[in-house]
Amino acid sequence: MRSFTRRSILTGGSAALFFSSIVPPHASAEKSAWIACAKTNGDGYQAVGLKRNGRVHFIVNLPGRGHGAAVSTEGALAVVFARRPGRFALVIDIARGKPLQMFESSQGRHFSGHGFFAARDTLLYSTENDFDNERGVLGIYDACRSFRRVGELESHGVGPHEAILLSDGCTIAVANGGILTHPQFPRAKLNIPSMAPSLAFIDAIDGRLLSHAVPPTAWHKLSIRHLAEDSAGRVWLGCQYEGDAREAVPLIGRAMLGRDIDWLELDTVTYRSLRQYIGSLASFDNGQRIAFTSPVGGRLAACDAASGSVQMEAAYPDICGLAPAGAEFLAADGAGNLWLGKTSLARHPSLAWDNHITVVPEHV
Amino acid sequence: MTGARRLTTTILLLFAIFLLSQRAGEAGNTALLPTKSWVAIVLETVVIPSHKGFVAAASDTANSLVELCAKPGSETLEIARDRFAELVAAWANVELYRFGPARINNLHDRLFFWPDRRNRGLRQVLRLIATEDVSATDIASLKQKSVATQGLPALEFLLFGSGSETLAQAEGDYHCRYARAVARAIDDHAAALLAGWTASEGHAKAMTTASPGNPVYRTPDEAVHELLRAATAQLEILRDLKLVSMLGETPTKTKPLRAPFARSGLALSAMGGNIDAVLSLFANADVPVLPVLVQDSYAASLRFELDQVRSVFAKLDTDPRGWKDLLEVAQVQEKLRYVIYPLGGAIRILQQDFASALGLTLGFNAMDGD
Repeated sequence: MRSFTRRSILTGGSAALFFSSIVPPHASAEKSAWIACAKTNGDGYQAVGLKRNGRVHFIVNLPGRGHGAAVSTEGALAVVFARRPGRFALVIDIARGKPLQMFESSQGRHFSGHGFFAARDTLLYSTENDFDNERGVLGIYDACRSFRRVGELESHGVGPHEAILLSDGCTIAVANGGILTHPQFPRAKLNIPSMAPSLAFIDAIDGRLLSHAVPPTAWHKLSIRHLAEDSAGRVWLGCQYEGDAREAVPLIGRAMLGRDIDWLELDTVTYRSLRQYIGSLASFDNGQRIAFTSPVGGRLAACDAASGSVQMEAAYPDICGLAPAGAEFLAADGAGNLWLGKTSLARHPSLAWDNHITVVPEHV
Repeated sequence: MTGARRLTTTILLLFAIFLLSQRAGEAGNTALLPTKSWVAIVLETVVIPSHKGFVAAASDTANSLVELCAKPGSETLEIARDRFAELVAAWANVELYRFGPARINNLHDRLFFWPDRRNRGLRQVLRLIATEDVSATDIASLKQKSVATQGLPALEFLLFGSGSETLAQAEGDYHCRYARAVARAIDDHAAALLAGWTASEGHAKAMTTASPGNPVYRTPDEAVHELLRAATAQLEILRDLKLVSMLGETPTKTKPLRAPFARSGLALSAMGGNIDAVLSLFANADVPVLPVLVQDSYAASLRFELDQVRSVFAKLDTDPRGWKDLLEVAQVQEKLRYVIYPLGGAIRILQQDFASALGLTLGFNAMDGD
């Protein structure tokens, strides 16, 4: 197994050369600005590259339902992850819109649908479930060596869902949803009475737990699932509640390394419209604003990252996917619609957009 | 659904909508589907009676355990086991209501801690028996213990698992007192579940008074959506967690005890009860959720699919061989593998045909996000 040093992690070795040799730079306006997963009306699953105008740049078929994607920092590669409890990951050449390679999670692990590139794109991290041992891990793959699995870190919790690399380049924030699952019982939640979610800050190199934030005990059924970082370095978390439907438990919070979670108070109408479920959240407008969606409540909203005040809201059925789009955000729904903020950007009626959209970096 | 059947049902749907819109136009009423009324009726005639049935069965079971402990013997044990079978049948009718009161105080898990991949519940029950932990024989202290030690799977093991034969003898005293406490806890949980529905501010009221000010349901459609989603989820659980998981990838990898209530020989009847619960909601001639012509067509399609499943379960349930022996027979495995297909058909009918006819968007993301 290859060993890593802080220096090699932070400098990234020769990966940039490797990538530039297989993917010539394409600066064309026709290039994909976002990557999203979708279901076709024929019950197939695809990864789709979307242009800035919302039109399709490429479509790549997936062997099963996809979820989120990691995109390399210079925008050359996307890795689309299988939805939990799937085991495939597909590497896509974004400029050409072609699949390059498929790889699988190792035995005893399945992907949780999210991941990110790190160390100047030499490494890929993915959230995974070590299901037999009932613990969460971050799998590490060497992007320079055909995405060979080279190690893993503890996620310091159960059921990690989304993890992001913070802007310092060496701290990972992990949303440990707290829910135990096992592929023998796909999609079943096995430990609701005792679930224990957490937001873990981890050293990207040695996996040390730097700090750990948890909801109050009374809210232990508040599964922390999605994350975004704002311009002030705050990590925003989007949650899904597994408890009593009548309880008014906050669904969105902000946290920083070493600090408790600051829960966002929403007005009653907005809160109820979310129906205890945040499907996605994204930082946009240079990290000064945060958008969030609830497909269950059919709600889209955006707030100011500094004050937390909600600035816009809209009701769109089955809205979920979100990604930054300059001063705006891109949102997608299950009917094939793409929205730039509240404005319709495009409609693809043959596609149901899945939970997430990932921006290709130069289009941030 | 075949192309011809889909065409027929589409024509029927369009025709029914045309007739109803004519009628609605005459009456000056633009609402085609009285979803609010349907929710109220289905709560009154299906959901709450099913929960009342479960409460009654739980009470009978608890009483039978009191009798068994007072007069241990083969006859009282047999009565207790019979009451348990009735309790499982009643549970199968309410298992699908995993929302609302079932999520309060972990009631669903307290009653039915399943799936239990690592047999945690069984290990905890065995530990209590081995140590004769008296705190498990008191209902108040039992409720403070792991949810896995106080529900139907725990009681099933106590009544049918190893050591259950001692229940007919005086030496089974601890075993019986623990079983009695579990039965009483189930009785209490069942009553709490029913109260969660019927209390003045209970879930039935929440479902029938949908409005922007309602903390749970903003529109009547959301309440219908909840029931449709619960029914769909029950069929998915039956297919994926109870059948596929038990059958394994190959015939040699079958794991009969993964099916709930396998130990008591009630697995098939319980799964059949799950099917009946779905039919009572969405293929119930007395409580049509759709305009009559469409309901007739879609309910017939749903019933066609689920009757195939029901029929396989019912035939196998008459087989005198025990559940484990039965599952070793290749033809039995084939039959159970076969029912996966009509179950898939029924799920599609609910998710697509019913949802579409109800004007609901059972969203790809909303139904099954992550």
